[in-house]
Amino acid sequence: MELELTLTIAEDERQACTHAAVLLRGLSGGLRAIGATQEAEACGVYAATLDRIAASGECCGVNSDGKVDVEQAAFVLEGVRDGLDNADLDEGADLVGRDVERLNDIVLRYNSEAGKAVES
Amino acid sequence: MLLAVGDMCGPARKNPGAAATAELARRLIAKHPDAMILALGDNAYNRGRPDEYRDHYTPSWGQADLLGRTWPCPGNHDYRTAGAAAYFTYFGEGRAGTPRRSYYSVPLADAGWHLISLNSEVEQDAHSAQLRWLRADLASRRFQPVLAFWHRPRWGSGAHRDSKKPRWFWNALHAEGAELALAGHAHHYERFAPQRPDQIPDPRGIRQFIVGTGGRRLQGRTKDTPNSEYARFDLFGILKLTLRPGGYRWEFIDVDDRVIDRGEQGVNARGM
Repeated sequence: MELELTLTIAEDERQACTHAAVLLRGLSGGLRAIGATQEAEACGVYAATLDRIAASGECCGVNSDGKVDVEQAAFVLEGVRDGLDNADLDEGADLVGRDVERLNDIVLRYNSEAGKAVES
Repeated sequence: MLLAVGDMCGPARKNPGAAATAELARRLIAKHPDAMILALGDNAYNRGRPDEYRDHYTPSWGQADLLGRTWPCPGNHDYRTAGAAAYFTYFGEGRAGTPRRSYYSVPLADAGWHLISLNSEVEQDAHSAQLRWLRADLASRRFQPVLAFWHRPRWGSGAHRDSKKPRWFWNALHAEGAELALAGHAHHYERFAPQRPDQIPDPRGIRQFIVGTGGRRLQGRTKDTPNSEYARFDLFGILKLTLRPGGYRWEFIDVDDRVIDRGEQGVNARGM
């Protein structure tokens, strides 16, 4: 079921979307260069969704697929965070980790509103 | 007696352990016919759709002998269907609640414990309806020792690591002397020492288990987490909990019927 909801997106969440989109576009380019075309396209889609949310201002329409894009982006960035941490690149790991939390905040807010919408 | 596990069913290629853990549950239930099952979320991959529940959950964990004794909580993959609608339809209001009120409690009269299912996939902060409900439910419970379960762990050494959001659950549960918190989400088994919400070890704190070993491909360690006492990243299995008014016993049992981790503890002084 496709469910579009209007969410309030806080400033720090929009910033996290911008950061995440930059990282995902870089990753997408790298994946394309090594021949992982499908994964490159997926990361590009996630980045586009995050760009749209970041550009939308305080209120943003998000549908089910867009919500999953945000969650998938958070999963990919968890891997980036963990890799940076393993390499003792701690500051970058912390920054990415904070953005992951903000993306998850958006996901949970969508889920809460979706629960109300499907029951009403 | 409770059997707890999460992250079970989906396409066989990515969920190679689901059938085996369901069979393990059957063997344990044959020895303990009154056992309840706690399904810790992400029950049907990848998007918790009706057809995924039908095609992947029903053939193993969704058979009547298991489903009829299952008390679930939703996971993030269940919410990939808007509002986790398929999850609520599949388990029904009497077991799962509703999309709007997706949490519930069950008094376990024989064991003398209070069981709480929470939803880590929706808002849970100070202003949320869920947290208000949790506080009221804890205040009015019949039995003191509390076991709460939800999908996303507060602390973890595997995939996804720690989640800050469930700190609200932890604060409320700890204030009422809760004993146990169970979660899935990360596909490994991990047991923590009792600890306070600020991660200070405390025998009167909450002991957390992660049991994301229900069938989805296992995941490895990503960090060392304070107060983690034992972890396995290489085995599918189920956590068996035996509750009694004065304490609890745990066993993590793998799909070859081996007891991998076991222990026992009295309920904490605040919980009595």
